[in-house]
Amino acid sequence: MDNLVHVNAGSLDDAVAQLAKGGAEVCAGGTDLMSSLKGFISDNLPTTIVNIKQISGLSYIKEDGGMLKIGALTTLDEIANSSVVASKCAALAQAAAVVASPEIRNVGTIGGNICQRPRCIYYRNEYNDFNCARKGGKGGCYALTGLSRYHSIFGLVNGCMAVCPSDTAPVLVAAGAKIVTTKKTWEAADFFKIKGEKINSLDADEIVTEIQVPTGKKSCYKKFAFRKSFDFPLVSCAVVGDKVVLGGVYNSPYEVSGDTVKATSATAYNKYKEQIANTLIKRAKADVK
Amino acid sequence: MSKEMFKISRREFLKDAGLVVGGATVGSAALLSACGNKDKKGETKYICPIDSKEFSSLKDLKDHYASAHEGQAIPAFKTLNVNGVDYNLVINDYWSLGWVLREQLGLYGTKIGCDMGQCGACTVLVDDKPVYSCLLFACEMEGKRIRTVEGLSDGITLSPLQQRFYDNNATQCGFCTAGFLMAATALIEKKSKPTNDEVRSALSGHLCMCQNFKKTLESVVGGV
Amino acid sequence: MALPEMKIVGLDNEAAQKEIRSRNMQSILTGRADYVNDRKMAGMLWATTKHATISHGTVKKVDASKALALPGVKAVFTYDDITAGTGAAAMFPQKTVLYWGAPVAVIVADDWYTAERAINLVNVEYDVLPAVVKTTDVVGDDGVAVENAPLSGRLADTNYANSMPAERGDVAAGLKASAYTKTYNLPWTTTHQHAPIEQYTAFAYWIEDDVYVYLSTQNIHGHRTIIRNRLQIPLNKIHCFNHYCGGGHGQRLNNEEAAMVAAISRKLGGVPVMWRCSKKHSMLLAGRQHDDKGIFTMGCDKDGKIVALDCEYWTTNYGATITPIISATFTIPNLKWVGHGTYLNQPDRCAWRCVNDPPTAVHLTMAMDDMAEHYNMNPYEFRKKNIMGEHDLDQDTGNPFCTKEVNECMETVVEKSGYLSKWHKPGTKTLSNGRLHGIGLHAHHDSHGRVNGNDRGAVVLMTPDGTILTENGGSKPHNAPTEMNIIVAEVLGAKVTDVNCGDYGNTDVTLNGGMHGGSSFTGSCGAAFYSAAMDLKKKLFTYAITREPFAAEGAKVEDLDSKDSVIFMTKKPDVKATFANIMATAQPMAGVGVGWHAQQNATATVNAGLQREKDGFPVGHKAEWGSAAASVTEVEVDPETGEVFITGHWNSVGCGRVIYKDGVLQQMGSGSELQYAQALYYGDIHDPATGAIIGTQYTESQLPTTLDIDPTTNYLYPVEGDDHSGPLGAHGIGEPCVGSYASILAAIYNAIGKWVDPDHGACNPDRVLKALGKA
Repeated sequence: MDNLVHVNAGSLDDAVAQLAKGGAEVCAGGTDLMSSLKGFISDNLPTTIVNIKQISGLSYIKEDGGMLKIGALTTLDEIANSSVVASKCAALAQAAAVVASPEIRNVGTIGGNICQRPRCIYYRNEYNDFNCARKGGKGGCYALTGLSRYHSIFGLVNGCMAVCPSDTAPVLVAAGAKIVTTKKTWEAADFFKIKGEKINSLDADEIVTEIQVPTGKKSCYKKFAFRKSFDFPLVSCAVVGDKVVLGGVYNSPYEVSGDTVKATSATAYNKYKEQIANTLIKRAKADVK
Repeated sequence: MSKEMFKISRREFLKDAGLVVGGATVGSAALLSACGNKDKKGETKYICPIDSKEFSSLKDLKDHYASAHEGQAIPAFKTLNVNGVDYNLVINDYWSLGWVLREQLGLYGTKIGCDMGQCGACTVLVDDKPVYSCLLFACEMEGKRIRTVEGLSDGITLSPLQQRFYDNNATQCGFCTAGFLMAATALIEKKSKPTNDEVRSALSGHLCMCQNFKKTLESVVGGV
Repeated sequence: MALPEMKIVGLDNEAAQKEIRSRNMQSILTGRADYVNDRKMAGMLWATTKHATISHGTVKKVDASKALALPGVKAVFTYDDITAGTGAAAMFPQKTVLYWGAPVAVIVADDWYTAERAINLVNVEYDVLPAVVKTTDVVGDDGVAVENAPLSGRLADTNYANSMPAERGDVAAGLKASAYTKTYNLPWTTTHQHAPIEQYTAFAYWIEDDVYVYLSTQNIHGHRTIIRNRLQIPLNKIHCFNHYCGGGHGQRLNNEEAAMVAAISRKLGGVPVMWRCSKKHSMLLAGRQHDDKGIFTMGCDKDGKIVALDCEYWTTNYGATITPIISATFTIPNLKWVGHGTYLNQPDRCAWRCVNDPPTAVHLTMAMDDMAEHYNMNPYEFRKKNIMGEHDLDQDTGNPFCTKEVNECMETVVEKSGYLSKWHKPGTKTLSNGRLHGIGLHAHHDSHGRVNGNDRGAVVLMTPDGTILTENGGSKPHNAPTEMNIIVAEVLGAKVTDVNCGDYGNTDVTLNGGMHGGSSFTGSCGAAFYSAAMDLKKKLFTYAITREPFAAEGAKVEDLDSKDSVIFMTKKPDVKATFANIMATAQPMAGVGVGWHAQQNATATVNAGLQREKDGFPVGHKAEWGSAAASVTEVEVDPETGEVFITGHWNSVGCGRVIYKDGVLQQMGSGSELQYAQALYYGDIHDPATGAIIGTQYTESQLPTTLDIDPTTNYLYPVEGDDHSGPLGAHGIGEPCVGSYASILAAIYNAIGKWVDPDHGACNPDRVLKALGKA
């Protein structure tokens, strides 16, 4: 972390310009960024941190023409406790409320939650002792030959078995949300396709500015993890209207057709996810608000 | 055990220290006269955090950095408000708030556990909210109101919450305690008589390897 | 001089105990407690570790040039660097890599993060050797052996360390004569997670040829000796300190780290060096996973009384010792036990809390609960039939011990939990919320907590105003000092508020002693403080009889007694003087008490006897076991997700004499919670493919949170008995209260009708689902 440079962007244009220089990433809440940096988990970590928290106009929750619009810098705690979000898209408030821990939610933002790095036990291993395919390394996928307990039950993508760890991601996909960036407006399902290390397809100089969530549908988010705090979802289920999307089971949020799923590529370690997924689908559908 | 350990007043006890100190004890003078603070004679000194050399102007300090510590990034010069006191500090870009509180201000009550936001030992209050100080860039903390465990009591009399911990025998090794105290303080400031469920939820960002939740939670449920 | 009468009054002493909680607690609460990292010195440097990324081999070459070119990096030390000029081969870092993550270099920089950044700039080449990382690879006739001797205790030509056989009666004949026998192939369990909140750390600096070393450990005297051996300097030039120390059990810091940090500081000219582990490095150094497995053959008579038990046992602990569970809890006339500690390419230590006993308790519980079913008994009835009676003697030595405790603990938890009315046949009760109800029981006598424990030293000082300081070689948590203060107060006849904790954790002023912490602390340290207080009392009385008013009466030492810090003549209580009166004119030696407790033997199977005389006082008794424990757990299991919810946990522990009730309750509560964690949460450590340690973060260690554990349904019942082996009737309880792992697993069995295979880990939902056939 020596020679790490921290700059404060005065505006989004300023931030984009910094990113365009290369070797830079935005810092919103900074929770994932800071721990990734201190863990030296990858050779692809930034050397310039672009702080965007002092750019005004990026933190808000409002309803606008049948859409719930949330600024990218809105914290997860604000979303979890927002009566507006609870009434317009209950699943999003429920998902935000179970991310990590209270302290993380006090600084973590929705923008950051959908731009994080994966949590695979090998990918995340500090000092980059497992330089795997996801990081562009030569190690292949260590989970495939090792411990795949937390990994995808629907196969690999780009040689990677890690799952999408975001709690809000499956909700956004199920809701048919749009994600507005400094470059374009994404459909959530396209946004979460994997391009590089992160859990989305953004360019290196692209910044999320707003989430737009259609309202008017009953919804529910159920999370399964071994612990009820701190843990990323092993399996999660977002139901919005008649759309059912699973988290924690695939590289990106997994859309379900029908009432149940069948794992297409489970290992002895992670076969349990299928049972959990089907249980959560049933329970989420029964609990929509 | 008597709550008053000393008969003299706090002001008298600290009056010769030469510095206005919040909850912190009088530690090493070098620590508390961190860059930009006035020393006993009222002169402002700028101290290099790497080799402790002193300079009388910010420019001189920056020039020193460029020559003596070539290749190392020029740090930021920030004022942090901690436990009600403003400190002028030299902060390397990559330092977390937790690191600066401990290594620059000598406020060692905040502990570094995992250093990656998964244990809660480093919890402090920033603008009344509990956050992990290991995950915050210290150079972003200007203008915020930071409180640490040292700020909970006046250093002599325990705060009501600390007293409850004492009465319940609520610590073992004590390493997680400061973090729990800060999160519990934030909770009680928002909700004065929290229930068992509310306490369990508010303190769920804290691990304890001694696995001593029973005593800790008992000390917070119902408030003070 | 009469022995003080040690009444069992601990449980009534509440008000006094709150009054005299040692000041250490307020230090912690106000953020003033000085843990090792909580210090700064001018010129201080930071150090971290370069770790091996192979499981077995030797370091061929270390290229630190890139690391040294990084601004801020001051030095990189290898095995050769540290070994040169020291008295013995360095053990940290290592040249022979024996486990993945072993230290192969130490990096020193002016900032800890700079040192960390340099880790991947140090390039190490290895000669790689085959590694044995799984216990299953070691076991059996075709088990493989590991080249290179381990650090200690491997039996020649095997991969076993410390096979500890024990035999009683004739097990073959016993099994033959049994009405019913069954062999149980018991699954691999695991013990403790190794994820302390304070990472391992040590600090050293030199002044001329004196070294000052601050260590995050409970064993400063042990470290001092190692530093002497490695650096070849006299003991009185090595000053080791530990004031406050994070939990995470056992002695925490390895001796080698203390020697390393002292050596490095010396090589840098005596500059202060703060060596610190990242979360990952703590895990790498102490991530030994204690898998345990047993194959038990049990034979009973027609009424369900155990006649014979034949056990073979494996563990990755260095020593698989027979435990009192098998030997001192249940009457088993014919017993054969062969225990193998296995050697693997795993870290040489772990942060354990009771390594052996919970897994053995689990295995015995499984066997007994199954056997009970055969006899159409519930688990309690079967245990009642076989548990040792209140006045039974040790089955191997014929000596008496606290058998009463395990009975009473079991009866207590059975009564308080309503076990008998709640128990049902396994897998037969579904609740209205769709979950499966279960209740489980366990009882055992533990090998920990015994008075024998370790060598301990204690110093008690009476000041000129009659107030008292206690000094001990361990660190300063507050429960232990408070307890020791109470003991000293009682023995001396002092006001308990006049006794204060002095400078614990300082090798300069404390008697050399073993690791100061853990479950044997109360009994053994208590015995040391007992004898130190008796020593002081004798000197004080000896001086007092030369002073007024006692001189005028011609009083002899045996005519005196003391209470509430007042010395008086037993037959003429009005003839009295306060401690302060006497000490005001006393020679300083009148106020110095020195005490020692010697560990008699460490092997639980052989009772060499503790009865001994010291300074004319008979102390101890021939037999001693540790403490008893019993628990009942009630659970609900969600059959669709495999989640286990503990709805009630009743934990009873035999304490001998309770000296510090708040301390006891705290230990019991945390012991219970640790068992929720071990049974249900503790996560993965090793990569099954390479043996590498991959579970290096708390998200993988899986320490449960306050949302996972509800302590309000954890009910604690300390039971008092008189432990004959200690002068106080007290023994430790730190480990025994972690036996409830067994009752949690038994409860899950009762809920779902199948034993969950912990598979070297915990009964996480996926493993419960596997048992249910749903995964």
